Amino acid sequence: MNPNDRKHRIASLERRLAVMTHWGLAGSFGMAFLLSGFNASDWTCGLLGYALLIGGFVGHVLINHFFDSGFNAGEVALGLILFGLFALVFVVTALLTPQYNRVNLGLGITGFSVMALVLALYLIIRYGTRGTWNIVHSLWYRKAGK
Amino acid sequence: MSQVLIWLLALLALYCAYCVLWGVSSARVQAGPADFLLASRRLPAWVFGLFATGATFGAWSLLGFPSLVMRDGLQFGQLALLAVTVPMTGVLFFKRQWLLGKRHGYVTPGEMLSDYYGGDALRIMVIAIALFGALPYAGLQLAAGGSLVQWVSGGAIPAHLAMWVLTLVLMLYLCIGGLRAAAYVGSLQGLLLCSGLLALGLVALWHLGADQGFEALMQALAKLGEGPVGPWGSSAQNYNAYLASPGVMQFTAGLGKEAPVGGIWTAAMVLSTCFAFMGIQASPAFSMLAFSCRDARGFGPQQVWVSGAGMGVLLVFFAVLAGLGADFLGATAVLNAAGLSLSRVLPELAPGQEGQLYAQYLLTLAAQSPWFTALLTVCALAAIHAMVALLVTTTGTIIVRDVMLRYMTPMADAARQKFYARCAIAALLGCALLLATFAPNAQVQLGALALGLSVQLWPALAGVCWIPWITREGAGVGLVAGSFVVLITEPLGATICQFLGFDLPWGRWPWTIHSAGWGIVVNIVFCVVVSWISNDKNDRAHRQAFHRFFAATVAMPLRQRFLRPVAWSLTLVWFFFAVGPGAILGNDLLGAPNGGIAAWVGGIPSLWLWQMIWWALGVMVLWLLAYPMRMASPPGPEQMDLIRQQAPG
Repeated sequence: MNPNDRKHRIASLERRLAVMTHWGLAGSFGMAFLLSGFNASDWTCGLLGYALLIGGFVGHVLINHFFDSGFNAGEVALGLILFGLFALVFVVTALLTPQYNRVNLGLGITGFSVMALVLALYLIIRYGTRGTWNIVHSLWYRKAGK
Repeated sequence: MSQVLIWLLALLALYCAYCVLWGVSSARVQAGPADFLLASRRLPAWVFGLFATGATFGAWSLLGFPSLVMRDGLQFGQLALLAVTVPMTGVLFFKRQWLLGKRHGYVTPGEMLSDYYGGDALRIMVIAIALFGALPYAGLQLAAGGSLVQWVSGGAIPAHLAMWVLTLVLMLYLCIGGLRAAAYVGSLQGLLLCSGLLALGLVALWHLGADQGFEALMQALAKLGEGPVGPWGSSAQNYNAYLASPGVMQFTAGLGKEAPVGGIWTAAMVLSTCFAFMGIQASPAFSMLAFSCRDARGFGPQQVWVSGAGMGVLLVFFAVLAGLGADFLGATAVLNAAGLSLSRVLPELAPGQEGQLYAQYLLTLAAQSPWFTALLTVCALAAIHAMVALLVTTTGTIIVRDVMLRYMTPMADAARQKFYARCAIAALLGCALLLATFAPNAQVQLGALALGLSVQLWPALAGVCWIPWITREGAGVGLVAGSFVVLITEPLGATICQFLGFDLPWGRWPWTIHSAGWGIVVNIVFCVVVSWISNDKNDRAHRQAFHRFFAATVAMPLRQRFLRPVAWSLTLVWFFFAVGPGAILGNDLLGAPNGGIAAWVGGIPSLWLWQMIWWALGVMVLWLLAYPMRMASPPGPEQMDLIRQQAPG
């Protein structure tokens, strides 16, 4: 391994470490609070969970800034898959669980809305309104195969 | 299978996978033994900050500290100020050791001491001290982790099984990735430790009453202060010993021979225990962690902000809250019998079972939030692993460099050095496990020596970093004398004496002074006297060369030297009032403990408020030493150029 290549690999490893360390904390405690919120139908716990997850996302953006990089393809894919999976679990549970109450429903809708809002806000801050529109537009075209 | 057990197994599996992942990832960027042994001296500042915090405060702050606050009350809570005293060792020594590592290419503190003082005696003593840290002390931590898993799983996972499996995972990632893997995993472990402490305090507060929990605790403490209820009864000032320090010093024969009145945590005991814990960052493991840093940018923030401020607030407020709260949540039989408990959320913990407190707090969450019980268990295990990982990897390196390369196979190539290091790590963890499994009593006696012995390196390190007139003979004789005194003021010394056919006239920690305190006083006396006798001009010139390097690179500019007397005076004043004899004023200066809430300033017991005030002042003192005094701030660009010019390779 030549020294430059090694230096680059270590730098990339350190960025990955920062991301995983950060999500290891924010993700685990965020999910735990979220589960407690849904389990006990408790707004405070649930919102605290979302706050930690959003804090995790903000922290990830800051890490990208410090390491002068952006989200890589794997991270974007993982994020979208997890978001989709949670949304699916939420919808299925809401439909199939008889004791699912208004607080749980409210928690789910609030959380997912806020997370989507934060994502949109990030894209607008990072790429501007026109840039965000272009990203969405190009994704739409790619999906539609046009 | 209970829900807690399922979540525990799932989260433990995730945690183990995370550890092994970073072991493998670290191995993939390894370029030689320097990487395995010392992370190629390229650890980033933030990784150092988190790992050093996790490894310094480890499991004792999470599992031990709140339990002892529960048992002994605010007189033990005084030790929350360890958050300030422990990083002071780092402020004094890390930056200068790092500089010497950069300049001379030292890998172990044995190499540094041997080069600076000449001869091999200090190198051998460093090996012995490192082994005491890596074997019995690490074994104690691993055993505590096993017990925690057993308690939380309700006995479904036996302690020994948990200990062996978790240690094998530790062994796997350390043997694959070396110090880099230990530090990379350690950054998350440090964060989990802090989260665990925060969560523990919040759980206690929640059980005391979600909205009025703190007020309820204060009222309960006020009621407690009215009489002498508690295991220690009243102090000499006739205050409840839970809420007051039992004096400056008590001239007792020591634990096991004579019990102190009103509790053991006199000002002398608190101060000398602080010395013992200050030994953590003077230990060979932390010298090597300092060597492994890419630059000096991490030292100041770790010592002042992460340890002093961050861990300080967690210990002074949250850990003390968890400990005191447990007394009124049903964990203390005496208070339950006196009708002082606010609820019975926790089961009564008999004397000797206080170590279960963390597990019992977690089990209160098991019915409603089993995932939290499991997550907070992983937090404690991670804290244990952080400390053990550092102790074991660095001791493995010390064995390779100071034993194998020095005395056995000096021509060993890179691959063989790495192989030896892996074998040493596996052997150390294996021995620690065997000791924990088959000889737990011996392990406790041996482990008790680790901190006291580590702090005995202080004069030797002070010589290297600050005081050129300390000679090899002075440092060596002081170290031996101090270590001997530590041994004979701990139970192991008494056991050895009994084996030899006579009894020591004192027990453990006579005059309510910790063995580390006795040891360091004797060490300093011997060091000063012998150095004065043995000063030799040629040796002094050799040592002076190191100090000229410091003067050229990191000394304070002349115009700022007026700060020195100010800073050191403030440090001494802080020690005197925060953890020294002056702390006795905190008993009632801010309200008599038996005066009730109305008499307490801010509605908080005087001693606790005293601790909070001196913690805040302590952070300022740390900052003063670290930054304006430049003891932990990174060197400027010109100094860095000079350091690079003088560095080998």
